[in-house]
Amino acid sequence: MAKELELNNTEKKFILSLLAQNQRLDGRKSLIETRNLDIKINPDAYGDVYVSLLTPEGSVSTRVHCKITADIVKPKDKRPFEGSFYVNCEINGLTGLQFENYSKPNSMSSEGYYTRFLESMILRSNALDLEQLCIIAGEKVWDIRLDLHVLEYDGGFLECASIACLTSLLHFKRPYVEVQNEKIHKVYTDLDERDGVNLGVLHIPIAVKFNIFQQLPTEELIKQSNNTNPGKELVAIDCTIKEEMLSNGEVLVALNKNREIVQLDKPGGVPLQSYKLLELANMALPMVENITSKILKAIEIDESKRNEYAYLLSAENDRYDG
Amino acid sequence: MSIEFEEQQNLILPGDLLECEKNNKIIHILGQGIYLTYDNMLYHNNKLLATNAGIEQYKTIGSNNVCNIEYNSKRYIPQQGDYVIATVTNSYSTHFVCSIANFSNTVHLPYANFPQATKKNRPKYENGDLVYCRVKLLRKNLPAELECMDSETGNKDGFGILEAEAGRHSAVLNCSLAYCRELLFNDKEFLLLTKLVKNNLGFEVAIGVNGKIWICTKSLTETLCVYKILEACEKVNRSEHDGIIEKFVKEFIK
Repeated sequence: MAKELELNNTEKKFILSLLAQNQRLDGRKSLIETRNLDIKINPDAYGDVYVSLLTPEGSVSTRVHCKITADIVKPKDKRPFEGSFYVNCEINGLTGLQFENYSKPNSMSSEGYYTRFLESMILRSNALDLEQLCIIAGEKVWDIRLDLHVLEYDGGFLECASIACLTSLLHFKRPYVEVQNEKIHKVYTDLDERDGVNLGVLHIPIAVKFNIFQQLPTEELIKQSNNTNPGKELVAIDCTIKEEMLSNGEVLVALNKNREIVQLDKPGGVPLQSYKLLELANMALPMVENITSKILKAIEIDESKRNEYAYLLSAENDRYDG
Repeated sequence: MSIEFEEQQNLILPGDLLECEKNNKIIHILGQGIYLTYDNMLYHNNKLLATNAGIEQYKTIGSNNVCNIEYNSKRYIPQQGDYVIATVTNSYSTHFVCSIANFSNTVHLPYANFPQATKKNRPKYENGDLVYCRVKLLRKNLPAELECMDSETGNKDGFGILEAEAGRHSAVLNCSLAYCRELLFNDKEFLLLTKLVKNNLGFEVAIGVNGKIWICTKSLTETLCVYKILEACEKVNRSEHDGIIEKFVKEFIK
């Protein structure tokens, strides 16, 4: 019953000619403009985050829910000092009817590909310190599991999901564990009794997806094999689902604000010159800085709301420097 | 024997008995959202029930009383005689396969349903082209059939491919079904299109009740302007339309 989202020729031509004039269908005025970001943190729990991308008119286009749970398990034999981290994401028919035929993998619904990208982005760059998750070496470690739910989908999944992952990792607090004689004495699961412990997040990588639109037909590009006409292709950030369907290739870059490229992937599509990749990474940098400050600000605001009466308990007094 | 109902608008919920049934009025033609129970055919007490939540509407066309329920939805289900904008998705030796709503069953557009159709004279449409046509036939368990002409007269009657001429720019907008019906049929009270023309926006338009509006103007910015206005006006009250038109015309054209 459920079939693909179909684009007709009129729509294709309209979207492409708008892109050629540096305009977007959802009201953005430039190809490198991202949608507005909205981060909501559940005030009753730790590591429970809703991230949505808003169009300039203010309607929600993509929405992701992210929740972290922690568990105590036995570590792997090869790595007795390290905890484990796992990203779980499934995009089902609730998100959009095009995902209902999950048996047929296509470029849009390859959720496995994107979740592996996110998991390795966090693990291989050492963004999450796994050694801090160790309780008793070789016996007990924390197992962190991150569940991603896509509630609404209109492109920009990778950005939205990476922001949600990092925000909830930064926000999550695992229970404090008391160890006596190399045995777990008590786990303080009630966070009112004893405050939890933050996870060790060492840096904040953010993934950005670039979509490439090639303006010449492929036959002509092959003819000009030396590619003497650079700049013929358009590059857009944060594409909607319709733009994604029309694009000729994509580049995934994960960066942090220390100017380190954490991960880079280009799954097929049109050929790109190597200097273009650096150009793209430079283009993503201000965006990543902006997003990082937004994440930290959202967490700070949430923290101040939780500790409304912290100043009453504080022993700090106003210094008087006369 | 026409029906004279008061001008009240009656909200009805699925499973409710229609107002006309309570007043023992005879309805000749049933519109959308109405179900006729046939369990007691013998005793002539089959009833009219609502299948969707909406507002009851009664009309008299000629000597027939027509009743339908006005409700809003996003997914289009084909009804006989509806004007739709279909997308060609495939073509076979006898017919085109078209889609009239995303994620739904396909419909057929046979070559015989075009004006002056012969075996050799077949329309050359490509996959992805938009065609303005009418739902001709609905059959149980079979795809619906479209036609591209008035089958009584054999005239073209404005049906056919929707294509921008050279130098003009077209776009297609997806919106809710009630909005499309309002734009297409309620031209006395719903004056949005007239208002657009008053603001010096000249454009061609084709509205299909399957939730698609095709527009075509002479420049890309004008097309985007009309597209944005039609999109924004869907979700607001009628009184706010003037403000929205003014805002977008200022933003895009001046």
